[in-house]
Amino acid sequence: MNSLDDRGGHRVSLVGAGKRYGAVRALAGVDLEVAAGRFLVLLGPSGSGKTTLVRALAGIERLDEGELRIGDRPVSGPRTHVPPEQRDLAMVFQDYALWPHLTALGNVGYALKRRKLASDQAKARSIEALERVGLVGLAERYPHELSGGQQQRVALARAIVAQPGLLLFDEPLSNLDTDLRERLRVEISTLTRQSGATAVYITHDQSEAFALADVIGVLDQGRLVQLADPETLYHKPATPFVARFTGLSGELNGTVVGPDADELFVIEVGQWRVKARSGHALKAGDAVRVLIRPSATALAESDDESTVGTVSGAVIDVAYRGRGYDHVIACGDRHLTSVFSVRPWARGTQAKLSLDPAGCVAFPLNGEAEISYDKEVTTVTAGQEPAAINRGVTE
Amino acid sequence: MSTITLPAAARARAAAGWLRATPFALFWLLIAAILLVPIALFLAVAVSPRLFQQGPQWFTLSSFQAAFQDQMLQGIADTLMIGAVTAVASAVIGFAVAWVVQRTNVFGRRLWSGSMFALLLVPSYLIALGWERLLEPMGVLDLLHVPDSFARSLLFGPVGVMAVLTVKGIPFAYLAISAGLRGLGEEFEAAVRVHGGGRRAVTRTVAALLAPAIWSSLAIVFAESISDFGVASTLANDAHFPVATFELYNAVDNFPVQFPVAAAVGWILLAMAGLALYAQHRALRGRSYRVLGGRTRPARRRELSASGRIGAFSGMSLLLLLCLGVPTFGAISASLMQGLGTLEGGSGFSLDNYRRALTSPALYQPLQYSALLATITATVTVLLGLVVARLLTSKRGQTSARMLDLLLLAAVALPGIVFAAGYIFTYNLPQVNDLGIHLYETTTLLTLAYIATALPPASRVLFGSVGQVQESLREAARVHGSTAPGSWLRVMLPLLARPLLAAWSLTFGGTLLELPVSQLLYPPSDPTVSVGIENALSKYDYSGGTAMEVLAVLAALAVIGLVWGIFQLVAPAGWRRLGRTL
Amino acid sequence: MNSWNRRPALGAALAGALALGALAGCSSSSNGNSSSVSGNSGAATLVVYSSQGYDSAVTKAFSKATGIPVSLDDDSTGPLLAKVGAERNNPQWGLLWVDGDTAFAELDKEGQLLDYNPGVALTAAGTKLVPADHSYSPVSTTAVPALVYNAARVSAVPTSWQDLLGAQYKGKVGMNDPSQSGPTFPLIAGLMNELGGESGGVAAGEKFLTELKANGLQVHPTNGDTLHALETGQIDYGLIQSSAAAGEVATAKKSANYDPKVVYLGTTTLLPGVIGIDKGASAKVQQEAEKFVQYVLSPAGQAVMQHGDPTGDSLYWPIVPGIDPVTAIGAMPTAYQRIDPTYWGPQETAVNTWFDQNIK
Repeated sequence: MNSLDDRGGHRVSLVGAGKRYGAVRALAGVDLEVAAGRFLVLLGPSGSGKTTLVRALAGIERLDEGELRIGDRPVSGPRTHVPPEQRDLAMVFQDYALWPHLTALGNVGYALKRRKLASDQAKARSIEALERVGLVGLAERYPHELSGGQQQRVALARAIVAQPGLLLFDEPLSNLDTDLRERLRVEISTLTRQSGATAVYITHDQSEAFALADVIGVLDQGRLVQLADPETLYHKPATPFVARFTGLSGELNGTVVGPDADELFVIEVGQWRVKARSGHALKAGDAVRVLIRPSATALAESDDESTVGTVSGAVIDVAYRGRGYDHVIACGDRHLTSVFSVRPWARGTQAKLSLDPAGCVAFPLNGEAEISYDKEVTTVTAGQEPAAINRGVTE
Repeated sequence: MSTITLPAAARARAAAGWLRATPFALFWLLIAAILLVPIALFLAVAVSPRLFQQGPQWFTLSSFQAAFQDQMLQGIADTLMIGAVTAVASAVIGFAVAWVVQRTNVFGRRLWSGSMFALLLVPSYLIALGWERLLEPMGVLDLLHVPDSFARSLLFGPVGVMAVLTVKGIPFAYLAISAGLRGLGEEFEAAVRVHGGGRRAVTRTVAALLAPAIWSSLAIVFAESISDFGVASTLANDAHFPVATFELYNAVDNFPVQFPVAAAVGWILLAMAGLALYAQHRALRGRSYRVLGGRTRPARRRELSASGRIGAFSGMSLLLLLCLGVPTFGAISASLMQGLGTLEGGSGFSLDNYRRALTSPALYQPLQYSALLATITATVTVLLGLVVARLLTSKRGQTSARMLDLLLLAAVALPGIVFAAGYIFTYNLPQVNDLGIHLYETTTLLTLAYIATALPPASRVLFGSVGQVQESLREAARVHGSTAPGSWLRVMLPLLARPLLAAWSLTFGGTLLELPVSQLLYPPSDPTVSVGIENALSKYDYSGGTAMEVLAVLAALAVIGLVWGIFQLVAPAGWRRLGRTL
Repeated sequence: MNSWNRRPALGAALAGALALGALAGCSSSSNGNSSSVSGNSGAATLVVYSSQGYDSAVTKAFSKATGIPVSLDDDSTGPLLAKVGAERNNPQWGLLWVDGDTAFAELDKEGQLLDYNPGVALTAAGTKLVPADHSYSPVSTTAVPALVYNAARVSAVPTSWQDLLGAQYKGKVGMNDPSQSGPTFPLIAGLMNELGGESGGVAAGEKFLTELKANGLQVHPTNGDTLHALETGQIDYGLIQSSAAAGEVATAKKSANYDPKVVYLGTTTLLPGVIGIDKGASAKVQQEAEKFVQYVLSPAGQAVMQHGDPTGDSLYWPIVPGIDPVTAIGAMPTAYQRIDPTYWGPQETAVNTWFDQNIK
């Protein structure tokens, strides 16, 4: 077994975490538990509090309320605040945060100082870490001589070299090119699991979250809305927000007709009838919103006359994806996006869409404000300035 | 799950909060002791002369009346103009020099950057003297039959004053801006060029990104210029160009000294400094300038064409000839060549004055003493300046940061003689002595006063650079095992090594040759070197005094050169690579 | 505030405190130096504020002769008096020694001076300079103005103020700026006193100066600047302090073009070097100060004064009988006056402002 492998991770337990920045509530009563060695992804839009949470785990921010335990040790509470360097963790930052005055090897070796190894041992471990990320040939380069992906891999090597019990990731892939992202995601996943450390990873990208996580926590405006494994999150989202954030084709409003077999409900949507699941006890006549996953949509090839579970509309847009085509269908006054088909349907043609009930979730319409996909949260919380600037958000 | 909000916990949090605030309490206590209280007490004398037995009334506004003589309004306008023009001119020239040295491949870069330090140390009186010797009636240019009457009329008037003060301001601007330029990677310039911007657009963008450094140099040069009286009284003496400080010096130079009137003028100068800060605040409002991190790629030097290189080289040479050459000439004519340009007949070089100066008791011991004090001052000031720069660039505590900024600028805007008077008021109070604080007329108080006057320029040189460093670099150090001071030492210090050295050098040189505060506060029997020089000069021994001054300047340059040399030798390679342009 | 902004502040504050502690040790040791000049235990240190060029030599000689430790603050007059003014509520000086008695008249008015009669017989000029209440002691004198002229270029030599209004002096006369040159206000006050007296006030003097200005008077900031103007031929006649004039004659290289000589016009104003003792000092310090005055007025003290600053302040006329001035200063003008500092002192600001607005 390699020296960088499986030292065992810490269990993380957070109770009632709260943090304010002036009038803004960044975290409001978040309870979280991560078993040792598990990979938790915190998913949410900007301003949801995920960065604050991770920085609080790191000790870079202080919680106003709540208790945090890492391992079984209380590290943050009303009377305690263990500083970051004593929490036995490591962090990978969105902007890489490599120190410009040190080489790649120097950057990695810095993180080993706390283990107080003999210098040749430390050097060997650092080189091993760089080997793990495939960069041992670039060990004497300075950060500005490395590409973005290489820098992030050095940051990753730096994070694992001291075998901390907890690894934190602050949107590490957001600044990378798309092709690099997937490769680096695999590296992160592999190396983290090999080291056995507990991981807390934040991102706003749902596909990244689903690919990496053992457990996903969805945050919305400082509240933990749902904490579950990816499959549950996908198939049984707790709120419309969670559903929207984990990938929707579209939403259709309608009225419940009545229950159906297998815990499904029949819902009247405009001139059609569809079937959907729901976590709520719905009665006939309830106004509901049906949230539809892209995987539930299929363009009907045949002129099948079965009306339940089918909607129709005009094709607004066709986008080539390489392996097929994504369509946007105007359905009533709504659009359904990401409707996949191997062969393209021309713009303007009428199409029939079948909806698989497994991918449709109904929520009661409680007068909840509709969130458009374009709305940007404009509060910028501490520590997010670089990311915010990169995204063009200003205060 | 319930959150724990018992009263006991809340109290414990509050107690912990106080404990955490202690280091800052110490810092603010120090600032209060060396800046706030002396300045406040001095300004208080304007309305309450009886406070320090400077007048009969406990409250009066008559000193403001007395200060606002007929010339005062004109004086205020004149001073504002001098301050603004000087600040802008220094910033423009400083920016140009920084750009040429750092972003082009002009020949002789080390010479130009080294000469900026030399310029920093040259006393403004030598600059004025050099120009005077050149341009005065029957001066050197007259003897060489060079038509100079136009230049003469310019020199002995507001233009001359502004020119001399600008020359003194250029090194400040250069240091602040070049520190900022070093931390600015190439991606911003590349972004402009990629979007079709030409050279001017690039320059404009870079200037916008360096706004904090530029504004901080603008503010400090403005404040230094409005507090000047020496240059104005030398060059504009006959030009009927009153400046605001005239009333102040008039009040202070007569006996009985009229501190209330001087303090009233002090209020006016404070208002002007506040104006400068307000302008700076509006310009920099709320934006982030954090551009220095691991991803920063060093900018490339622009390859100049042959004519470009010649042009840049000659431009720099001309600038340095004017800025450094003239005072050097002045120094030579006063101290090396007896009777240059006089009716006595221009005799050859004579090292008599230097021989005299070197064997004079007024030089060695005071120079040693001053050098020791300057070293201590520079070191402490640089550390404090770092804290101040961080306070000024952080996003929290905006109000207290702005008050601190105003306080620092006030220390510069008030002429040294009244700043020192404030110290005397504060630390000579019988009540203060009763508290057991016997600091007046000790070396300690002199050093504190030095630190107070050196802190504003030092923190402004650092302001641009500190604001550039990305926070994540320190956070990364913390989460990877460094304690807080450790992360400062291992991460921030290397990143800021050059700006810190620049601030150290600036403070060392400035303190070694500092005059007005030294005159009033030096412990009896322990004069500083500047006091000795000034005594010689005021006893119309120009040659001897200038020789001593030149020796002191050379000594300062030697120390600064030594310190930079040690840095080059000892600092790790990574430190020296930072900010290096490819 | 982030938690780690505090540590550097603490570090900086601690560093500052350490440095100050080191300095406190340094300053106490340096203070110890000055007080260990003599082994006389129980002697309080006499703090002397002085702007005289020979003060360092005199204080050292005094300490050697009497064993009394002396701490000397030597500055030019302006900053020195500013310091004295700022210390008004708690003076730290035991003894003040500057040129010109207007400051002392003011200090006496404020009740800060100890009346002390050294009991030493003075020359006629010296006796004239002593105030009625003996609140301060003159110990030497110079005179203003001394007219220094370039004999190589001009032959006309004026003997009175009125002569300077003549055509042959047009554009050739220079003087100092009273707001920048300490001895110049007494010069102007003396002129005003001669022309108008205390009853006539400043009017006659202002009229004269206006006429002089119309005749091309040049104003330079200080003695040195006026001398430089003389050396470069911008002026041929300079109205400066006697010690500066004598110094120029003594040190300048004479040539075919440059031959400075000194002459005194009409009634010359005496400008004494004066010592005052702090009334608020302890009795011990006052005793020591009195001994200092005695020393200065003694032949031994005068000898040190005459050798302590050969090209500067040593060029004075002694007011103690039996002591010859140094050769370079020449004979004292026979027509001299003393202007009353209690009358003319308070006029200084107004006169300087008038001069600045009308003559410069």
